[in-house]
Amino acid sequence: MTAESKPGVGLFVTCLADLFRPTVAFAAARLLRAAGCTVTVPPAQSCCGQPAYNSGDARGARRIAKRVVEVFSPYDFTVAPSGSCAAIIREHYPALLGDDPGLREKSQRLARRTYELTTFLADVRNFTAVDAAFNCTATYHDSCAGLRECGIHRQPRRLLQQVRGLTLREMADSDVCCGFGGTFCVKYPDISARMAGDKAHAIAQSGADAVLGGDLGCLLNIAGRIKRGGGGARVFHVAEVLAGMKGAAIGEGEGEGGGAK
Amino acid sequence: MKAGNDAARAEILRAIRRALGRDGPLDPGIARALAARAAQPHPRPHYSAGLAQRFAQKLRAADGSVDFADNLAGIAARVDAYLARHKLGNTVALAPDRRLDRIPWPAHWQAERRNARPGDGVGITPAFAAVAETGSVALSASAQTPAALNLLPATHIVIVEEQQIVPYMEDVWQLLRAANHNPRALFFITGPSRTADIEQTLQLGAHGPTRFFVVVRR
Amino acid sequence: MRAAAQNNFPRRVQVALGNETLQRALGRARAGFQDKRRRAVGQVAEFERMRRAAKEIKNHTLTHLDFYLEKFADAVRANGGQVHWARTAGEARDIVVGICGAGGKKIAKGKTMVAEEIELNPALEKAGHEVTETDLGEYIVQLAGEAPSHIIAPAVHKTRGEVLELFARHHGAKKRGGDTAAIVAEARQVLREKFTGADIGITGANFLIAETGASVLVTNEGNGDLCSCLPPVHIVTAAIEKVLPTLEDLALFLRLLGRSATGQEISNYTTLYAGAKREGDADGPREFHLVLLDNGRSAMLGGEFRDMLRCIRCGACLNHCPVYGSIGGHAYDAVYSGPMGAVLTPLSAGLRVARDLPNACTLNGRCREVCPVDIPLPDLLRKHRMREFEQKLGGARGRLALVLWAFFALRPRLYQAAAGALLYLLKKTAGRRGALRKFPLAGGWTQSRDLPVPEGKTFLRRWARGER
Ligand code: SF4
Repeated sequence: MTAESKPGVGLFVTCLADLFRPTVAFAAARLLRAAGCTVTVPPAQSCCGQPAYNSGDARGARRIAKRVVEVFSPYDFTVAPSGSCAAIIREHYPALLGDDPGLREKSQRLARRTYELTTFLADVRNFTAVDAAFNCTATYHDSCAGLRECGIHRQPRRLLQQVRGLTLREMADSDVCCGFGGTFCVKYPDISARMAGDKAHAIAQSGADAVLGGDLGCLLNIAGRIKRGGGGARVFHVAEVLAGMKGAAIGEGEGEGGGAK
Repeated sequence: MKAGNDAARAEILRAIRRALGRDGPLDPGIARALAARAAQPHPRPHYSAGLAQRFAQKLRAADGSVDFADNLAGIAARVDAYLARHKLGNTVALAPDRRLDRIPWPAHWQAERRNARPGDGVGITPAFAAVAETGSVALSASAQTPAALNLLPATHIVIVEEQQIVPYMEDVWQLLRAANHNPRALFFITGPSRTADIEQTLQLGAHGPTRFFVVVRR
Repeated sequence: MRAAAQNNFPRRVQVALGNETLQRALGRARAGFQDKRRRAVGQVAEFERMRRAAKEIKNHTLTHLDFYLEKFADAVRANGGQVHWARTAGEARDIVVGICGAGGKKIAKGKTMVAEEIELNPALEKAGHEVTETDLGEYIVQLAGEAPSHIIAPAVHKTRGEVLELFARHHGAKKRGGDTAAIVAEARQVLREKFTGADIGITGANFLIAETGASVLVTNEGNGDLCSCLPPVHIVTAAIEKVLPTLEDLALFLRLLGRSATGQEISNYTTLYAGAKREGDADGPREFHLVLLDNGRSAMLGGEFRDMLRCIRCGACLNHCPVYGSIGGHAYDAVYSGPMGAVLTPLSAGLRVARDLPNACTLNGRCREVCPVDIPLPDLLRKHRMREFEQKLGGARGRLALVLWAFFALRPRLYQAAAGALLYLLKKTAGRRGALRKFPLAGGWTQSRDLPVPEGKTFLRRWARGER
């Protein structure tokens, strides 16, 4: 890679963004381009294998992982708008595929070159050209895998500081799980609901009118809980805000719009 | 009983060795190396305060009281003042230790050289050492220093010489090794007994002493 | 038997979540424990280095466990103590009952998780002895006829009012003040007689020191020391992984234990016990017995759960676990609860009966973050899930869903087609609404939260059509 040549990024869309909120992936692509990268979206992608992996289906997870390694190996970097998907690829693929001589090195190489979006922007690209405005008091939820496996904490906050009109206000226990946990939330709905309720409470207590985060799973969970009567904060993925592409908040219908504009 | 115990021992050790991928005891060379595994200095909290100062600060933070005296008479006076201040009477159980015998205890006390009895109000014991890092006193059990005196009296008073204060617990181990001493019981006590078992509310005087007072002779 | 009831986990969860007193108690405990630890750890620049060293020492000790155990046992004997090796819980029970001898003894017990693990109290009571727990929290749960709900704060689930009621019922109807000081004073008075009148004291050990043969006991109340020093017989029950090579190692672990458990730099009473009363000693037990328990640990050593043997039972993982914080210890219906319990219980009770425990976790990783010996608890829970999946222990529906998901995930075109259909359905149901209160098959989700409605078409489809 010469100084002029643009790094090629393979965008790992994540299945939740693909299904529920394409805007997040469009926003990620826009930000990556703004950060001087060429963005490719390999069409043969689907899921990182997390549901299988975390449910104990090692074989299924291994097969999916293999596929992801093949599909994303050609790019300089793989970037996902999700800390937990990035964490699986970075922290768990090498172990999962370690017994496969043909894939061991490839999976290690992919692991080294895979990033969550905000860490890639802030740490790898030193991106400071955020061009967005959002008049609100926002609070940030630290999703667990991103925080503890990818070390995501200051990067999104540093980027959000550049958004015009946005004030960050930390909630209590921003690092405590929201109760999503993939299949956990449907297998143990009562416990999950309690945890989501605690999170919604912390958000309401903070007085923020928007909640931002880097993982759609958590955000769908938080938004769903808030909609069911857990305060009035609007929920967005951090990429949408940074790219200036926020439309209706997560869980908000057309023309519904909450307090923060 | 004995045979059963030997069998259990052999079987547990065998199971451990199997789990570790060995079929017998460690190679004697390795075993010797392990036996000689140096008392390794591990990372530990660094601090810069002087020993006596750190000791007092940490013990006070653990709800203990500390006072300083310049000589033996001063110790007696400090303890007497403490008893008067807290209205603890003047009946005192003293460890039968010559370090305490040298102190000119007030004549109006009813001081008895003996082990503790249930219902004792005040017990006084000499320290083996004190640890500045945590504000702890180290007390060993022996003929002269009964263990129960550390536990039964409602107020426990410990007499410490300033040179006895060492920076870290590890320094107490060095003292023990130097004296080739392995006491039956070695207490590290840091403040009065306490519990937070009721609604996380700290309450002093759970089962052991309710008050803990140390006099350091400079 | 407790294990049989494991199947009722979802019910126990509901009961716990619906119990407002419990919820209040848990909320208070959570905040208290977390704040204290955070403050204590924050004051030591070396904490992470200490933690790494502790992990190394434990790993070192475990890889030479036979050597250090023999060394320790020899040292105990040299100190005038007796060592009893117990392969199983039953064997350990028999040994202790045997030492206690003819029925009718008064036994004062300090808190020991190993005694809970081997279900010692019922066995002693059956043999005709009177057993009194002396740790205030343990005493409270004993009066209530319950099991501890937390490894270091056994009565953390009880409120002051509940304790007052218990005391009134068991200590007789005298007038009592309602504050914590009065409760503690009352317990102190009642238990004093138990200490001084005991024939036998039983305690656990936080650490065993191979170098000197010492059993190390850590408490804040001083009750363990009273059990150890006053009765003529002292029995220590400890598991084989408690051994540490040297006193220097002990110093490191004490620093980590206090800070991790209660946010203290050191617990108030930390005592090293080395054998029975010696010639000329002013006091101390005439007999000193040490019961060394295996109970499945040597098997763990050789398997994929070896890391768990580093555990020092500090309770930090419980205190920081949002699941434990929501449901409390009793919902686990096992000796050990929280993350460490969710790893240990399937190993002792069997994965079939305890299969919920490794699954009732979001794998959020907070437990590992605070664990002073860096046990990869989420990874170990995931390993249980893998064994479960292999043995087909989970529900058929969940399994089918996984298989289907993997099937589609490996076939992107089919996946897109199926996704398109699903999105169409969702969108149609929702109309202009942004979230649904109900959707077929999504009951687990929608019973307590709305389901945000997807935007419409999938991203991949829109991107392929040139949208940017
Ligand atoms: S697993 Fe770690 S945090 Fe949990 S009790 Fe054991 S040592 Fe403490």
